[in-house]
Amino acid sequence: MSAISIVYLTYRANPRFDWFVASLGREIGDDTPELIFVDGLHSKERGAALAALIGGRLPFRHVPPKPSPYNGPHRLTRCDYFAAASARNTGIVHARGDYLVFVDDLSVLMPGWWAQVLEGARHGDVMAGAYRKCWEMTVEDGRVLGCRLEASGIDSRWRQGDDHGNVSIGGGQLFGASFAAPKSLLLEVNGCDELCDTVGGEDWQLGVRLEWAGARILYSRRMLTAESEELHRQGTQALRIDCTAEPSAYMDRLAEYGVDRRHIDGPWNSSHMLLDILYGTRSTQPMGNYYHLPDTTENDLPGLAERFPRDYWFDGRPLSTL
Amino acid sequence: MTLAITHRRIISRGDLPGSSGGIYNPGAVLSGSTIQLLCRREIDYRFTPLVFPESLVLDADTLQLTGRRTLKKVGYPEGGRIEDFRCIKFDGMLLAVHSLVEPGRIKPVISRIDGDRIVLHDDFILPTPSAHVEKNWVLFEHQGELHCLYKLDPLTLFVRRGERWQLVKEEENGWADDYPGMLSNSTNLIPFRDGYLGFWHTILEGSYVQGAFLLDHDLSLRHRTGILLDGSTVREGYKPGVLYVSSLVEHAGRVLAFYGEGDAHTGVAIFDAEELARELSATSMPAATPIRIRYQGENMGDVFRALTAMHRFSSERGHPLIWLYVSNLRLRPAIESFKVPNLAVRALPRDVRHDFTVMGRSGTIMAGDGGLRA
Repeated sequence: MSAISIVYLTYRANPRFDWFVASLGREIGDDTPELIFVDGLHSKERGAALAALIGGRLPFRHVPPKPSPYNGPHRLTRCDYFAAASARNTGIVHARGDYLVFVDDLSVLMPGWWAQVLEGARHGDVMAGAYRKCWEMTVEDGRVLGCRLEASGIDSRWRQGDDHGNVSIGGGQLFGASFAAPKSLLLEVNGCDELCDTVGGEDWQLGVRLEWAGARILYSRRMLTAESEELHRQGTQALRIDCTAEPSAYMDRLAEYGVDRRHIDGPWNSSHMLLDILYGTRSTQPMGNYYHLPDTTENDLPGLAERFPRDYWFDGRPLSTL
Repeated sequence: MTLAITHRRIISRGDLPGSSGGIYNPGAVLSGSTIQLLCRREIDYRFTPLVFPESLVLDADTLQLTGRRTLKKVGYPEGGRIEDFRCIKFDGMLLAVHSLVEPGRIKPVISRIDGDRIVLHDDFILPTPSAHVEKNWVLFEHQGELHCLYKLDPLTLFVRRGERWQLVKEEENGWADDYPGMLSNSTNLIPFRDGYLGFWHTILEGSYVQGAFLLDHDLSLRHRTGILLDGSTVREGYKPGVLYVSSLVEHAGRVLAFYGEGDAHTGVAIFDAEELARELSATSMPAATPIRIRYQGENMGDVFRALTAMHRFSSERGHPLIWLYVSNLRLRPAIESFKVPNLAVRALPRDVRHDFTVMGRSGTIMAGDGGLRA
């Protein structure tokens, strides 16, 4: 069995590390996956708190997200944007395992989650974990004792799934709650695309490219996480925006990516241009990254700020005005 | 003498958005205090019809990247890929000779760089039969006229006059016999000392090797070096072993040989210009005085009879240099397997005087063309 790294992402003051660590502890038995905490509020104190929670049981690393033009101390924009692609790619660089699992914060890993990760690692598949969004979660020792399901938080793939086995899904159905993939495959497609960092959608966009790279993508109901809905709303939220352009400007910009026609109906906005670029180029590679992950080491991460794009990919405006 | 050569990476795959598939094989020209590179930017290492002409600006002294822009393509056939640009300033224009890749065909064309656009300028039709895949035609300016160096052996040169290209010279020199692979041009030629400097390449044991040559002002091949750059040192990228010099710039006492590395990155090999000039002048083109023999035959039996006769012919004359001309180069391995000393198999050029003709059917060698037409 190849080594497994779990990449946990957060930008929140209270990400409930305790829920994650306790629920993971219940799942893994004697296994010792590597833990990478990519923490937008990285500090010595948070690292110490994590160390206390983990108690030497597992190897872990607590790291800040790599420099991003859209978020954090190096940002070129006027405010913090979502920047999940940048954070996920930070985890890919730091992780030493051959098989990587991404887990969102505010999550409890439900029983059976780890077994599904192991199965995915064994077969080298991309695993898309199911999720539930809940209110008023009562969690004790890593177990959800009670909660109220959020009506709009139902995993749209749930009906496709099966309680007893995994089902094949399209790459566009890979969602971020928890998912796993071979590291070699993530490197092959150069990770998540930072074009998505102001808009969101880096998860399904990655999924489509993984699918084009030949991956089998399996949806697992049993790889389930439960996420707190009210804690999602804590503090200041990183922005996601969907800018709009005049059709002619939109097409001119699209042409700069080598795409001469629209590939999806809908508004002339940035989230649709993401789709037009993706399906227009049919490329397995991101168009928004300014680094090549297979050649990138931890030591290279601070220097990436020198290569930031200065203009916004959607309409060319200076990032300093965004 | 060993040349001191410094290597430096200019830009790596992925350094720019949309360059995961590589940014490499740069054309280059000096413009004041800057060097303009024109690279091939690929978004994906897998084949995609999309490729972008990426213009990079370097400080000529420090070679630091100071600017970039993607050129807009104008006038090319739909679905055609343009790649591997070799730039030259000519007649107030910035031109690039590059490959145009279309289904079933790869052919050089000449484009013009106008601001942020690259525009198809010349279909580049040479008066010579062309294969389905033609590459490595390079340009230089001589006496105010645009010239094309089509091939190094036979040294084949054309000049652009009016709307047409005309043959200037086609002269065999035997250089290609030094290497088992094809001997090809690498770069447009630049004025250097009393002639024009270019780089050549071939493939040895799976790796690209590169050297320099000097074309004299009378358009004769005067000097050539041995291997200066060895692609076997390239171990990363999408194609390890590929070090492909695609442009030369002389600036501030240095010759900068820009290259693609592993079909992924752009780098530069930096030579001291004086040292390179000395290396070139120390290695003159050897004069070739071969016996030229034309092979006439159709099947393997003909090859056997002809080469048996050639063995005898060679031995009787003390194994002189022999160029055996064949109309079908696919016979080369069979002919070479007979190991006639100092015999090189060459393609039949359009106009060559034969000293002898070897007749495969009878195994006889006749003076002159044996009554055959070339």
